[in-house]
Amino acid sequence: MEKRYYTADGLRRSLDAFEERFGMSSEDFYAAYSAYDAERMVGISAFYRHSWASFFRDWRRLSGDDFAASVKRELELA
Amino acid sequence: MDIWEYFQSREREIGEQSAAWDEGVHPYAEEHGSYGQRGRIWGRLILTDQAFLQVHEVVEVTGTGVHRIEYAYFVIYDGAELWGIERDPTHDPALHQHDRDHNRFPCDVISFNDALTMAWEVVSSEEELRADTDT
Repeated sequence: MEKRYYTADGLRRSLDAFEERFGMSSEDFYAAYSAYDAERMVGISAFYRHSWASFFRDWRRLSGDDFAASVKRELELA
Repeated sequence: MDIWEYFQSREREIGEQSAAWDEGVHPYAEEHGSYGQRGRIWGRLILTDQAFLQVHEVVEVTGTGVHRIEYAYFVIYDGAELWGIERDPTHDPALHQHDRDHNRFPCDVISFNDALTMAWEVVSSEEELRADTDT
């Protein structure tokens, strides 16, 4: 089996493909997904919802975006 | 065990259940920098001309072996979702399944092998139902 790898950049390109296919940003999608807001996810199958959300979480983790958001939040609270 | 051994075992299960990935698709990938400790499976398994099983797993190696920290298996027949089962730690309950109307029900952990067996049963029932309707 040939080994293949993914990185934050690769996940970002996957997110771009979802965004292009479904016409919304990953941030907007994830907000709807987290809120169980089915109306904002009409036309996106359950499997694609699950996958998109999972890719988005991992992209944030690998890109350090989670940490950046935490720093921003801390600065807002200071 | 690393995730590539796990992926190999997954390939054997798929072959034993007469399913196959879409041609030219590479469903297995390791997270770069994880040294074989984390990866993903993403793709669809062709079951019949009308049916396929969508597969997503996020797997991680821990002290006791390889664990699916997230998964989703969905049966699509003639473009419609017939049945699906998920583990999504951000949802409540994390383990749940969906019927064809996308109603959600709590459920237990299911192995990939059992999910594939279930997929064949769902497809078989659907084909019988359609055959009965046609006659």
